[in-house]
Amino acid sequence: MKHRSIDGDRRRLLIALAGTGALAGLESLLPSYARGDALSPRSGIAAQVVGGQPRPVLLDFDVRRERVDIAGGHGSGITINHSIPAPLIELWEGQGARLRIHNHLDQDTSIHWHGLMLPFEMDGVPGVSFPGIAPGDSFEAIFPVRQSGTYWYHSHSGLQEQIGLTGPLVIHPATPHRVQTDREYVIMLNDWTFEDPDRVMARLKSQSDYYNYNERTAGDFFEAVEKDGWMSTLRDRLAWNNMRMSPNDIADITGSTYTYLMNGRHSAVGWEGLFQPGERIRLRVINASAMTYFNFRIPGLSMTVVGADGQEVEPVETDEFQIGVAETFDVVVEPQAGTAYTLMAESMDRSGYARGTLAPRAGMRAAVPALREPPQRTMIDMGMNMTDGAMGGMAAGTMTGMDHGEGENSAMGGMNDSGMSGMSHGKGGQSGMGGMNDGAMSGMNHGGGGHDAMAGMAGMGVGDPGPVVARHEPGGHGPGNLNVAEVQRDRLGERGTGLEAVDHRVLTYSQLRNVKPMRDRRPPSRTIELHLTGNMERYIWSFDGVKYSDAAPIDIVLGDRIRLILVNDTMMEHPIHLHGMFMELENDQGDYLPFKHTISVLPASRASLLITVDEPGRWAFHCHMLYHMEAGMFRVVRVAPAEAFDHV
Amino acid sequence: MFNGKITYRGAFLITALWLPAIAVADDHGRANVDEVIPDGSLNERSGSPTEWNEPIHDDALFSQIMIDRLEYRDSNGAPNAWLWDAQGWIGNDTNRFWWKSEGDGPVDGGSPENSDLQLLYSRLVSPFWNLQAGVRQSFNPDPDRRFAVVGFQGLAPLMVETDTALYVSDEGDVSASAEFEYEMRLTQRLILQPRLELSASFQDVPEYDLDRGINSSELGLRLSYDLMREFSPYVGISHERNYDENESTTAMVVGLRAWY
Repeated sequence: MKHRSIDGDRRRLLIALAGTGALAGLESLLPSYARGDALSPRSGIAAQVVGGQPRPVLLDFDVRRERVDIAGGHGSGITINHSIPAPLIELWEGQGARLRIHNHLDQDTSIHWHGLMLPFEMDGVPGVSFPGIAPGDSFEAIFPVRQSGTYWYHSHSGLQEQIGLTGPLVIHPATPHRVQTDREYVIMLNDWTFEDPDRVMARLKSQSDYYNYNERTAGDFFEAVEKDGWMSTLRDRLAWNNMRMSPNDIADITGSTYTYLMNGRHSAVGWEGLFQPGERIRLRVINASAMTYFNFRIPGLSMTVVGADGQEVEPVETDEFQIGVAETFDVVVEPQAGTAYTLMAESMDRSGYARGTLAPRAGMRAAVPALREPPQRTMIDMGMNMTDGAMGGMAAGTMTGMDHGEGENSAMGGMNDSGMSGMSHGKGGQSGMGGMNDGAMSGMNHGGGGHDAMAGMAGMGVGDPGPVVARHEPGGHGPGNLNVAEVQRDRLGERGTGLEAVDHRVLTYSQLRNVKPMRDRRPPSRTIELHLTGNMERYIWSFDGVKYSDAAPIDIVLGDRIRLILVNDTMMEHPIHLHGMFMELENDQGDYLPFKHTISVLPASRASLLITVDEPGRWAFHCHMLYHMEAGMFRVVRVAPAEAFDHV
Repeated sequence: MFNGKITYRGAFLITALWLPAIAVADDHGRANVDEVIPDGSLNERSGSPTEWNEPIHDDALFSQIMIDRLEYRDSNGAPNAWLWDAQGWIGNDTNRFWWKSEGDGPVDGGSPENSDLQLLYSRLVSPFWNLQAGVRQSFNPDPDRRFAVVGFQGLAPLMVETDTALYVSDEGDVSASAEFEYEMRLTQRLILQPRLELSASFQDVPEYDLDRGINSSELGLRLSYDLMREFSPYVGISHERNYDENESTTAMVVGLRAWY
């Protein structure tokens, strides 16, 4: 233990020295081999959580544009204290934090403390919570630490987050963890590109499938014919082509430009974490990437999930989980003595991976599993009504009526009417739309409440889609939106895209159960329904078909208990993040709903969240896909007493 | 829980750390409610002071220049020719200035035989369609003509790239054109692209040898390779037909598709 804390102190000292700039002049005089690790720009972070006595924390962050050896190349990125990712911050619950940011860039910057509850002026969103940090200026984020868990921090200015400005943030609890461990590591996942992120955005605006090198080809067509026959294959192609969408559209930006990093190291190098025999290890997995969902697993080692988005959950044992952008999961593992394990973080579209090793001694490695076959979107993801997943049952003629965006909704209505009766996954009492408004969402309870309730439902097996819970109102959200989820499902019991059929346990949202009962049992006084919308062809992203620049703040009265319903009308996942307040995900766990700061909403699904609105402020609310946010999927939520809104 | 020394030091540091924070937070670290809606003029999107920058830039200008075809045509029975077909735009998601230019001419002849330039306002009116309106100037054959243009450009069902337009010349003659393209991926980079172009006149225009009806068509098949998405050389075959003169030519083509 001792050598570790010395290491930690040395690291802090170096960071502090680097922060003062006192060594900056000397540094350049030294030959490169003599420079300290922390002083020459580098990729990779010290990932071991050091801990120690609870104490208030004062840290300096120097933000610079520097050339860095990263991802197997040499690129220009944004460093904090010469590091990409930014260094690990450790704070203590019940203590103070004073975090000083010094901007050495030639443009504004900012740092948002993702998932932290603090005065909104400290939240670090330029243009919402503060003006931003101008070149040459400094900003102090000062706040009492009111929570514990695994979080992260990142720039909220432009696309800076893409090129390095992300870091892990761990808060030690005031009372000991329920699950004790001997060692802790953060596992931070990033997607790195050597391209200028503004150019990436411009390319997506010009050709939205620019980075997709896994499109359907003529070869795939003939393979499908061989497997499913001519008619079925043709019908399927016609259906997708008629919608003008691609089932192979899994990720907007892929491994064709991204290198995936684990704690700053690319897969050819890998990150290494050592353990002693018999140790229990807490891995704090953070998806700090700009655009990439990961599937995380450790072949040969089962994981016990004990935290989600920094908040403790009842332990759930699993073999793999999908982690959305900006989410965090804490897992506890107990590696066997004498064995090395690969930490495998495969991008959801399977165009690449990040990896690391848990090793009993330095340099020991385990086999790295091959990338699995890329998944495909289905008609379920399109919000189409399906009976028993029978794709072939849909005539091409019916599909012609699928032009939701262009006002041909009447055709859809007809389709659903016939289809709703065939809704074999539903249980009684859900057939009516009337049941879907406001208070009646509680009618969505699947009855079970236990972890395996979803799997236990009649007709619902592992990998099956969740039940249909609502239909879309008429209207297509305008030219900024391509598709609507005619049929909306409760997909919290699903495993995530591409993991439907894997032959081991996969975490689902429905398994997350808070360790503490709900503190606010008031029924919600207001329901806000927002649709996640987008035009993939034009790369426009929005809520309800309206971009931030055409929208007004969402005003919520301080002290209220509200229900937020998110309906994903698009065919891809969106990780929706509310700043400043946790959301309780209504996942059938009774009074033990898990807290989330970021919820990944599956395509064509309807998710419901409860929020106790107790943090006054102007809070950002957005999709955490960086380029979706920058393209308009963003709102400001204002929380103030009712009378304050009267004057606006 | 901790020894006195640490507690003392902690308390001292907390006091020192907290002094500057009192203005923005209460004892529990929550913001002062009066700060949420500040005095003065507010940005109606963010509720923040108007002098602050926007948090995101979803209304930013983007642009693209596309050379859809820049090609050399080797025809039997007609002089070898070169051709360009380019367009570009600048604007935000909804409103764009759009230009298009096409022209061709014999390789030996020097100047192009036919060329035109369109300057258009383009508006996204439905998820896949731009409504475009503006002017078109055609050069050669003499005399040059000017047209008013209105058209739709977008992606039709079945993934057919479509560009249709109606033209009214300065002498009141009405004509139309339509282009359809489809991209069939043979591999992730090798793309087979059938293409059909039609032009029609709604009345006889003797001055330009145009009869009422379809005047000409081009049916092409091009095989391109994406060296990168922006740069795709191609080879292909093109069959052109002039219905008014009842002539047709077939050409082998080699060219380049590029954009930025």
